[in-house]
Amino acid sequence: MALGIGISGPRGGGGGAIPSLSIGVYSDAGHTIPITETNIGVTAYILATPTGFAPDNYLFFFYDGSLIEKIGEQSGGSISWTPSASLINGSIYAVASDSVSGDKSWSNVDFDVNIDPDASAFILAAGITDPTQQLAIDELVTQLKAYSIWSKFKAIYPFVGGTAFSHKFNLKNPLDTDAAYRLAFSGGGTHGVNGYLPNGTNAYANTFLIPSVALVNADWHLSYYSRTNVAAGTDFDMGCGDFFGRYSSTMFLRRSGNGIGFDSGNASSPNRISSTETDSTGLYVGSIRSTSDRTFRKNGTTVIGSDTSTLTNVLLDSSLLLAAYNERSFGSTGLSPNYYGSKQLAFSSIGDGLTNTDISNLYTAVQAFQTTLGRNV
Amino acid sequence: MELLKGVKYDGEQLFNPIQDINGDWFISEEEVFGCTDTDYFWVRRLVYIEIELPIETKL
Repeated sequence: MALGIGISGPRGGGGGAIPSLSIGVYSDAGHTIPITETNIGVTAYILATPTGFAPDNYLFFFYDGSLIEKIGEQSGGSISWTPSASLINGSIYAVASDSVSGDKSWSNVDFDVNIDPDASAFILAAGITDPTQQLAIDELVTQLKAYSIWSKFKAIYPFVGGTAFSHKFNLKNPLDTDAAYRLAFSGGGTHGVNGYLPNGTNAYANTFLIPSVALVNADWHLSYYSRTNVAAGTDFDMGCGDFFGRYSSTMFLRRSGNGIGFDSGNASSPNRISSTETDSTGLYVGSIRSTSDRTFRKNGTTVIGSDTSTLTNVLLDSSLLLAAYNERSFGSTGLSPNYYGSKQLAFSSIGDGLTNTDISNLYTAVQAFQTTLGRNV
Repeated sequence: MELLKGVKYDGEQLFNPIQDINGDWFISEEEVFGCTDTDYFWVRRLVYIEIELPIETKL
């Protein structure tokens, strides 16, 4: 091992008893429950106990075999540590020294930091360094998997990290490519810790997800977590379709006049579920499970509308947009954003049809995610 | 102005110049003030204009 800290082993100089150091890691501040692992964002309590000398300085760090993260340096042997996702499995080290006698000693203990591998991949790709944001992502992925709905998503956009760079990544496949459905932002949207705020004039995000390719007719969903309550023009908050609303996969959450709608069109009709809405904040999910089973829900269980009439569904062959409507004729693939939206976006997903239970579970997971981030509505 | 379409203005986001109902091209303040590419700092010299956005009602 070559740590470069200038100490050759767990012993120091001076006469008498050989100075030594032991180290323990606990889940509680009273150091009664020893642990060998924890989750990111969950605090561990480290206690270094000297024998044969009286250190006046302790250096604590975590080493994973290639990288070192300093935990802290102080005069006492007790310290708390909330691990981040930058390091996963390794050892916690304590180095103690007595400046009077010159005695030094060190000790280490193996320790694992648990994080879901999909969450870790996203965190690293998006450059998320804030421990709370890392924890929120890990909890979100863990919950979606626990609810057995993770596999139903083609794209998940958590909008965490506060920048266009961190907001563009798809949690399901965090590669910086169009094929991974990584977002490309255009126009005057702004990015912050609360998500992506389109300006309602020319801002949108291209998902590069082409419904006719990525989705299955009559078996898909859209979701949008809005933090803005506004009745805005005739905007669409996400979607695509042709000039007449045919082949459409869209949602609009509150227009002038308080109209709200979810479209799952075919070659002759938008097939719209519509209602009225006076508060456009929350998680909206439009889901089509079959040609005779469509639902539009808010915050998991509130039914905006449902439709069981038998209507075919045909998906468009141009990409779906966030904060706008990609208005393209079927067969003329390309990009024609229109009907720009203005509602702050803090989560969105596109994927397979979700059952009513799935929609409820998705809301539970997403709302917990937003609460951890302090931006829930 | 149309030449800006698809050009990154801050390393990530793209200009999206559009026309209002009178045919006047415009970009948003967010794009102007968010532009960090020195090749496109000339957008800061653009003048404010009154725009009339199209009101889409068909959908």
